[in-house]
Amino acid sequence: MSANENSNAEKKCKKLSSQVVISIAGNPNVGKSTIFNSLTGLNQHTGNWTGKTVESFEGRYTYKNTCFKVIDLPGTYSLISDSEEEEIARDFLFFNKDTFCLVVMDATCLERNLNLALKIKEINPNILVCVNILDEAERKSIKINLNKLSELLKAPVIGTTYKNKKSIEKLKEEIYKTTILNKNEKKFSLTESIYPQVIENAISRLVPLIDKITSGKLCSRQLALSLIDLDESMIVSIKNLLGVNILENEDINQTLNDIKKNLRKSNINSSDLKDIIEKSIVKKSEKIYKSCVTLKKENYNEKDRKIDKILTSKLTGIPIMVLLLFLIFWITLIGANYPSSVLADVLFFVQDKLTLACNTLHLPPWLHGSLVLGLYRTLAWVVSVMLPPMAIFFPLFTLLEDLGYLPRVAFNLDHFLRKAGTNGKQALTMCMGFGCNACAVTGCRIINSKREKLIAILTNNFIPCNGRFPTLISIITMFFISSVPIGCTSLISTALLTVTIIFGIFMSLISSKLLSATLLKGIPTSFSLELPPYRRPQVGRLIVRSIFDRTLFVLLRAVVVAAPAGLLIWCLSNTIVGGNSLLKYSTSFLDPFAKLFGLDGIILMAFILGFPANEIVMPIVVMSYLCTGSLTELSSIQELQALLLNNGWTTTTALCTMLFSLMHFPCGTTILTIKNETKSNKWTLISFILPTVLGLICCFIVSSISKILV
Amino acid sequence: MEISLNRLPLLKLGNIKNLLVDKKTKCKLLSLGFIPETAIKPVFSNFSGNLRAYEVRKAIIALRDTDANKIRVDVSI
Repeated sequence: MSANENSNAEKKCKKLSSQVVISIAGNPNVGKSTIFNSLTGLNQHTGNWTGKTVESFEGRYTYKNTCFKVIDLPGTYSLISDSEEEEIARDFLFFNKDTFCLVVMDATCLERNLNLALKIKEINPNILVCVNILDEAERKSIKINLNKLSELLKAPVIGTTYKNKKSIEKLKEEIYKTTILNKNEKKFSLTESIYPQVIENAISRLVPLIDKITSGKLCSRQLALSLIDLDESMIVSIKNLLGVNILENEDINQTLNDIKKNLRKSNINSSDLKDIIEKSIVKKSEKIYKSCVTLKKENYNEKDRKIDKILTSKLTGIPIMVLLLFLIFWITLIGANYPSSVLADVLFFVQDKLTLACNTLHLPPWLHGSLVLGLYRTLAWVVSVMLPPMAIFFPLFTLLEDLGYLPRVAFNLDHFLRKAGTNGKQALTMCMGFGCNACAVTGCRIINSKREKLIAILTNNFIPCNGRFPTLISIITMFFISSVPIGCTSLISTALLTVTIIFGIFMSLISSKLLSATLLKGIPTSFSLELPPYRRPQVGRLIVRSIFDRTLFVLLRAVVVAAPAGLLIWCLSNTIVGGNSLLKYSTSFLDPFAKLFGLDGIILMAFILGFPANEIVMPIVVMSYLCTGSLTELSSIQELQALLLNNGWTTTTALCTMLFSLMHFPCGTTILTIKNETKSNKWTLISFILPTVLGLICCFIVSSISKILV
Repeated sequence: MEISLNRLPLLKLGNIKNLLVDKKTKCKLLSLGFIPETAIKPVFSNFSGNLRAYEVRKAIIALRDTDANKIRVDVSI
């Protein structure tokens, strides 16, 4: 299924009179988003680490003339919300108890996953359980009796393998049966005693009082538990939904006081309550697990532990991390060369033909200039130079993500993040920054502490996104490897790029430390991170999908952002006022300031105009020089180098441009996302100023040293 | 014998006895499986030793020593 098919499903759904709503819930990292993508044809970001999905997403599909609206909820370990994304899941499940819920469980970790399934079943009897990743379970010789599991959970259970299309079709059929065909069958809640009698008695006293206030809209049993346990976030959520502070009700208050006295008589303190509630659920999960699961190998995770020993050890952990980064960059560099030159040949050939056509049709020079030399040429540059590295890097990085390596990166980097006064999960958001800084900022929701989340948001821009790699790669190729023997150029380029990225990571840590010591002082909060089992990624499907998605993304950005920027540059350079072009005036105005930092007016203007998208910075630099110089053709990196050298570029200029590319204000999308996430103009402004100031300081230092040495 | 979790030697099995943490952290740890009377085993640590991975209820969870030293375990099993 594709996104097109999802939009077709939306159209079909509008014609159908009814719609069934299904939420997909479960622990983090069990394959909820993968199942969501398979059902709806949408393309939520998936990967083997906890916390990727940080907000709920909707999609639709039709099956046997029925419209299904699917909601992918963020993963949650329990219904006691601890972070923003867990609160989204908890609130949806709690306040939509009459919708169907597809509870997804990881077959290789069933015992722990059963906890949440049981808690959801307590709230909502309309569940369908999906035991996912059965192929991995089979590989580890874990045998699951799905029929027995269904009997004990009192809910339909289906097994799926996300790689297998047939299992998704079976899932659709089972969803249809449960929600439509067997809709009127009695659904069983797990209301038989799970908790000790004294707590069950307390619940039964509160339930009728709660029903009176909520008119049965909410699960009174779960709400009763929350009241007994004084779950503040739940009470606030109910107040927001119903406009009622349930604790202000006299009857409920009195009953709660009675209940507390009874609990004390049974030697149960309020601090022990959560332990008891959790232990009761765990006991039930263990009982169900032992009845349904057979392990042929007790130490089925032994292989994973051996790999972890290598990837996280004192000697090899960090070197392997650096080496993997190096390898990904090297493959990107090598892989991008040929497609870049082919694309450049084709696109600039088309440019020549367009010019010929314009001349043949006697089109006015301004029309040819603006459309062909401005708009089309910039678009051609972005596609030929920027697209291949982005299309190669992204799938390679996604492979590492799907393997389950990223949490190990967070494990290795936690020591440094702790020294910087931040949370270890920032390593995960930093990794996301390699793809897109805006997505990484949203991803910061996995960090619970407001202070640490802010630090992660404000410093993420030091990690260069996909859009900045081609700029760094092309500058390194042109200026830093000319004297290197031919066989070693790719290795040296890659090494320099890796050093640059590591410098970016270092600056991210330094600025985190700076913020922790000044504007965002505070005590580090607790840090816990699940290290998921390693999974075999679907290499072929992943690469094809990523390349396709990334290509579409770059092409869209090229059309929407780069082409208009190129048109603007052409217009600025060809609008003459008082003997000079507007471009000349703008760049001359910026030139003195830029020169202090080893840049020039055109480079600085390119960064300013590149605010909508980082990948257009270099094309704007090139276009601006072309418009002011005599070169009209540009089809190779050597010609590009000649253009830059002719316009006064030196090694210092190249180094400073790289540094400023690494450390400057975030792009427009990232700034908007930061504003959205922080809801604060102050922090949004700081996110703009912090990397820019640090970038300018570094450029100033480099430029000054260069002037002294020369 | 009861000790804090961060002192439990690598690959040695312990039994969680108590979580001496604040309410919010307790919620998180309970939901991750750090429940009293549950078996736990430290399986590996980072290079500085202040972050360790624990096997609890067949899942691997990393915890800093500042959090692990507030979890009491019994090593008599």
